[in-house]
Amino acid sequence: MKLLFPTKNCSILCQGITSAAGAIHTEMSKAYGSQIVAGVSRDKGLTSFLGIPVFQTVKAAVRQTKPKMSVVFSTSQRAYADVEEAIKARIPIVVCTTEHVPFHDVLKMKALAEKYGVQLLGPSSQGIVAVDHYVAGTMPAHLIPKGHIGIVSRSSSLIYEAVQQLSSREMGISMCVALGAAPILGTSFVPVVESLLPDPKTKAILIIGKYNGLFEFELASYLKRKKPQKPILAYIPGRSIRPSHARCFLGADFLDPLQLIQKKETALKESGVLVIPTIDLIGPTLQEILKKTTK
Amino acid sequence: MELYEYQVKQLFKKHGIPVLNGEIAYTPSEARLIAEKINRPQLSLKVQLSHDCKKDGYFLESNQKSDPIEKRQETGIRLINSPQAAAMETAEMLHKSFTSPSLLCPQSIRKVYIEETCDIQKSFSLSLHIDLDQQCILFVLGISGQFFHYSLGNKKPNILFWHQIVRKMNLKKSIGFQCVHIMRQMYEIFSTYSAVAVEINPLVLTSDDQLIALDGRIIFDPDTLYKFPEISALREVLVGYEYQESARQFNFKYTPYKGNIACLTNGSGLGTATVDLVLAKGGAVSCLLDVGTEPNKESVSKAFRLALSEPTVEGIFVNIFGGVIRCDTIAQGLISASHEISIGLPLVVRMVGTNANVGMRLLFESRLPFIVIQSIDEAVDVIVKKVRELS
Repeated sequence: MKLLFPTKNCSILCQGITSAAGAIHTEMSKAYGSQIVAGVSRDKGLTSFLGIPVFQTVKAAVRQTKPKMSVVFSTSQRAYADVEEAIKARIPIVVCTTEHVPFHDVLKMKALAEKYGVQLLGPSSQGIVAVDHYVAGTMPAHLIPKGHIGIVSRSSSLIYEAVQQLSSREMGISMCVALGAAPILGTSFVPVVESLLPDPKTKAILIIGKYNGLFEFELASYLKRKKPQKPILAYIPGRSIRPSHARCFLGADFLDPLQLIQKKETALKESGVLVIPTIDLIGPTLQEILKKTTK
Repeated sequence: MELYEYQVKQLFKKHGIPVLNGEIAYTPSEARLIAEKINRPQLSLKVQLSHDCKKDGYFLESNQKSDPIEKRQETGIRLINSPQAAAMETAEMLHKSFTSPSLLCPQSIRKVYIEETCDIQKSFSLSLHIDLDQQCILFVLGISGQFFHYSLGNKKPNILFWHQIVRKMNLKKSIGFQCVHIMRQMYEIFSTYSAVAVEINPLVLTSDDQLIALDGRIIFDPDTLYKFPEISALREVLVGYEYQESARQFNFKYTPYKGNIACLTNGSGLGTATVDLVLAKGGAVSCLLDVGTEPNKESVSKAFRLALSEPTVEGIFVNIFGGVIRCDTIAQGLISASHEISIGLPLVVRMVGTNANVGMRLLFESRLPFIVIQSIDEAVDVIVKKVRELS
């Protein structure tokens, strides 16, 4: 069973709603119009916060409000316990915004999510923005104009860069998904692209990759099979990274980061993706693509 | 974070992985005492440095007149056969410059590990690590340059798992049991310390049928170190890594390159993309300072000062995106830092996002020589051109 990321409004639960980050972002998200149905906090006796009903456990929250998605705001020490609680309550999508989650905890989270059939986004993910519908996570949605580009990125900061380049050329975004900055992640490109392809608002998709990991190859082989009609543009940062900056283990296929990027780019090109070499080309290239599709 | 070989071996010993007898010496006289204590016809002296640069590392020989010349033959491991020789060789090795392709700059040797030697019948390499490509825990067995990968899955490996590896190693039954024990202990270290990698390279079979870990490496996860104060207390700062260290203390990341433009950005993706673009436009980056996704005024001003303090820097490019953190806060950080240090260097600032206009006005009103440009393309062109004019 494959879970798709909702492109329209959906009910959201906030874990750690009373934490500093949780409070700010929940308030911003609510103001944006997201349907936040419940919060979870360990503060004893709290029943409501920012006008949102608060529960002691995820289980209680799920029983009463049946959220489709949970956003986890917690410290790196507590992240595993909180994500585990959400997964075991079988919330279909769990977004973990916590940074610096230990490697061993991420592996455990990932395994658990697979076992329960839950889509885990992150950790270290800035979340999802479906423009005009909802914000789940920490992205500044008020800066993202409405439009027709879907963005999937392994880097959070480059989403803003892309948004800035698009908005200065009077283009907008339909949906933004940050996969997370951590090296090991619950969600790769494929499930997000799969959600964006049938979305009528999205006319083109921008993929922002990373020099390490193999997600781009997975995406390339998926696209080769699927042969989508929508134009897809990809950018992979990291040409400047030297081998000494990257960590290497015994028996690893020792590859220069540059070689790996070139391999990824070739694979993507072969499956019909347009690849750009530098960041400044995102705006101009997408402008051109949109012009062609609207003609 | 990584440890020195001798520290790794102490941990191995504590967890029941067989290692040779040895001790660490800081002076020639200590070396002599240790050699007398171990009392063997042959001993090895090993240079101690983090990173596994012992194999491909070499001493820089100082020629009285000119600069140090590179002498490749001399490695960091020497064999000796008397306490006198131990003292002599240690005296020669200490405080000499040692370098390796994996090191940022040559290191002065401060300690030498003195160890027994053994006859080697066969040698293997074992590694247990979190593989970031396949996103799983991987066990790698190396036999004479060939590597075999075994994925651990999500459960604790059982006895069958270890036996399939031992079968591949083609060992006698009694030695096979020794080997399973060693691998299990590797796993124990890996899981108790939530390590990223535990390696034994090489694991040797001696002529009297003993398995011994001749060298090892443990990489710790920086995000779990707070649980193990005994490990984090062992952290030492290498020569040439002081910038990384102070960056770590102030919560930002420092990556050195070999050029003359310092880049200050927030977010690692934006940082990498910025360096890529500067290189693509014909510039050369001296360092990347990544102040993280949520920087504050202090970390920005500290990073900015660090960039200015580098002797090779001839220009600075600041590329900041304000999200939750506002651009005016960042502008204040830049202004307060540059008030303290006079800047004679070209300084291009690109600022977009929340309160970018306020930030740019602040920079303008400060009357400091900031060149503010909003398009990334143009901004990089300007900094590359300005620096080229200077040199």
